Amino acid sequence: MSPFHTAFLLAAATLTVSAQEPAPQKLKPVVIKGSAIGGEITAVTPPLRLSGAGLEALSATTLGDVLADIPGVASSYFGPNSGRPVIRGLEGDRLKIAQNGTSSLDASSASPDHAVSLDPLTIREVQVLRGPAALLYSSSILGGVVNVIDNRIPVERLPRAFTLFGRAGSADGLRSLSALAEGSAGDFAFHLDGFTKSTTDLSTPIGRIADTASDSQGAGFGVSRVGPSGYVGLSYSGLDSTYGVTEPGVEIGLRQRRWDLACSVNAPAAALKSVSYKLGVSDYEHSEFDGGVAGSTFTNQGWDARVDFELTKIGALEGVVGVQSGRFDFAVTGDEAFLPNTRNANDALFGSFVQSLSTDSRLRYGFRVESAKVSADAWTHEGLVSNPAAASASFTPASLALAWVKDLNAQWSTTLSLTRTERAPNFQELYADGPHMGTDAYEVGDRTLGKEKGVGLELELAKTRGTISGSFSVYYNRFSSFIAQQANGFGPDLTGRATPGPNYSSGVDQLARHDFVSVPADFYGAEAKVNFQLQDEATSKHGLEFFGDSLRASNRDTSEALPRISPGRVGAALHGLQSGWSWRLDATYHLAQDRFATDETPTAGYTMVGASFGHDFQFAGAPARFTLRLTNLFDVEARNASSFIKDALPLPGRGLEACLKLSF
Amino acid sequence: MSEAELLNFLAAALSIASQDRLYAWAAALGAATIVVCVLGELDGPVRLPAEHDHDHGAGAPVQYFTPPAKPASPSPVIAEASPHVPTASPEIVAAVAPIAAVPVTAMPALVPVSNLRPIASVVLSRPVVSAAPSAERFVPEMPGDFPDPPYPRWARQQGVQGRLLVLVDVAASGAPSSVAVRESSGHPSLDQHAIDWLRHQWTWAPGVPRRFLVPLIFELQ
Repeated sequence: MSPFHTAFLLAAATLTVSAQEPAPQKLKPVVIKGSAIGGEITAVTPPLRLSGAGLEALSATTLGDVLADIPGVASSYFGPNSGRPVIRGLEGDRLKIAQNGTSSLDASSASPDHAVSLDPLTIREVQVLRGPAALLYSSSILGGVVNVIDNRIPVERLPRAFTLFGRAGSADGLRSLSALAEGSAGDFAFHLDGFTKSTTDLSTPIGRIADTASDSQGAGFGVSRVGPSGYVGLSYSGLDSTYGVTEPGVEIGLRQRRWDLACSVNAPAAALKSVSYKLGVSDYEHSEFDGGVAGSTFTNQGWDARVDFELTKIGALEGVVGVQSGRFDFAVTGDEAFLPNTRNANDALFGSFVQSLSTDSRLRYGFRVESAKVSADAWTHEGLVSNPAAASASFTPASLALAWVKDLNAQWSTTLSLTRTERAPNFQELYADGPHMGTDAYEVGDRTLGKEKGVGLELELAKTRGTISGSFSVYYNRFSSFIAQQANGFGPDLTGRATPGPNYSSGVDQLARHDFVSVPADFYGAEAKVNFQLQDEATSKHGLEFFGDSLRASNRDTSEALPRISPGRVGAALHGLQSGWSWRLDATYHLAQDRFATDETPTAGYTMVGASFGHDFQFAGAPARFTLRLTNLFDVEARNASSFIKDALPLPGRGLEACLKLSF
Repeated sequence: MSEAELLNFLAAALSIASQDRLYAWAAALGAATIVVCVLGELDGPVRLPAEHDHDHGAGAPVQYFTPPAKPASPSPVIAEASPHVPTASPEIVAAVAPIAAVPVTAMPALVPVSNLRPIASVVLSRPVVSAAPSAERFVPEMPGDFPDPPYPRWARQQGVQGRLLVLVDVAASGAPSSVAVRESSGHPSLDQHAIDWLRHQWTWAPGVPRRFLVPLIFELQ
């Protein structure tokens, strides 16, 4: 400090003191850490999260595609329009898909050809939760939980934003336009979004596949009152979609309307950091049209609500406890009525905690206890032998998870997790009895099924800092009871029924019969991802990334493979960012699957090569971003092992996609 | 899970491990770990998170964090004695003492010593009535309630980070009487979020009117 400065400060100090004007004291910086890509900050932070530019760059058309690049995740791929994520070989009801924390209340878990009622164009953030944090949403967490955030209910005052986003693609003839408007006025914050999207028949290396076109529109509006102590908000959203499912002349028309209510209060009591309440009420319906005539209709009407109590940190312990409750009525009418009408109830009590053991180790643990009840109406089978009576089944699944996190040094950490999960069988596994076109089988449920039970062990090693970062994990999930579909001859004679699909090869009016049975099963695998940051400056970044996963799933009794398992892949990507330009080149080799279930066919290995370029610029004074994406550069014919219809439908062929985003 | 079940499970895990494919993974994982460890060593010395995490590139106003100066006369004795600082000549002593009191070891990641240098200029005219000057140095040690603001969802999703400096006038009651942005984060909405939070959520113990400069850092990991 120079003498001049000292003198000046002395003078200033004397002046302020004599004027009795208190000069400010500077406090220690308050650091508010957010997690953009995950990392464990609180008991509920998801380890993986996609939002903003990262989500847009994927330009995916289904939720399955959004997550498919993550090691350990595959997409169920039933044509370009329906794809659910499959994590570590687990899908359907074993992999919960939540919408803003509450259930998505669609029909996607009942059949692989039913789309998830969430279009990627309305998704603002996707979280993948694993271990104790996943127990906030589901009791079946060996694959994790996917929570999709649509931002429709504002939780704080929002900066004014208006965004237009247009996309066009060649492989699927994609044309889409979406708009988003957000802002605040006084204590109110609002959100408005809408999109329209159409695709034509999918182009693949074996030609265009008929009956894969789609047409969708969706919109949502939400408004919140935001105050110093919290917020309360309401939203209404709708989705209409018509899409082909690769079967000749068959089209699905989907319609969902949903109300959501959410509120949160900060620090209502000394022991609570916040209390939040969420309610989703949904009316879902989809009809399967065969040649323009409605064949069967699936409806799901229900609600799901939850209250989360975030506890004030007590010593080294932080956590969330809560309750969740939901009801839905699921019904199928028409040709494909393979289920009785059911009323499903689920109530849960859960908690997830993180406790510091020392400066470099933490214990995370959680529990979830549910009470599940499925009640089926009596129903009459058209022309069939059995006319099942009304029945109901109740279950009390209890799940626990424990994870020990140890920082080995400033850069490395390791996590050892032990999980025990239980899941109540769903309405389909209990009561199905009829021809199901989506799986091309005559499905028969078992009313005496017990809970699905599994335990899992996982070891993860992660390097979070430095120019080389990455993570490796190995896991072993062992189910003492795993509810699987097992081939069991052929279903009853269904003369006059719709023509079976491509997998069908025996008899004319017979469908393969699949029984829901409980089998012991083993899933084990490994996942790895490592990034070498070759250059890391403010305006110029380059990196090289390697990733891979591997999975093996077997019925432990017979040592037979479980069906539809993606065996694994290895890949590399080179990515960079320089003066407003960003680019990525990637190549992934997908392993051949030669372990397959009875009735299945092997899939060959294949290599997918892709590239993308993005450029940020100003358009009429507004920030804009242009993205060009090339997929399947070498037009490789590829079959996705986790798809039900892989033999009929290869993955998309070479394609070029352009996106333009304008923000005003 | 009963003990028998657990043992059974572990036995099964071991039997799986004896299968060739898992061996292959374990070998691959081990090899990869070794490679990364070796490369990690070549990476140079472990950087303190503070150096890395607080660098948000161009655009972030960093005036009050820049000077990499050394702390003046780091003598903890003065710090402990600071409640007895003579009120008649508080300036220089007060300016030095708090710096010495910085518990550098407690939060090295968040409070590099150098960051606190400007305190000297603002502290030396602290109101003399202050009962325990050194106790008022840091947010957690001051009597009152100072919950951290949440990270705004929109900012997190859009990757918006920033630092700002907020000037808070505290009334005799302990409630903030005015909260103003001294140095902006560059994002008006982030500034607004921070000052709204401070205005409504922060309360000091009753006393004389006081003024505080509160640096806030919103950073994404």
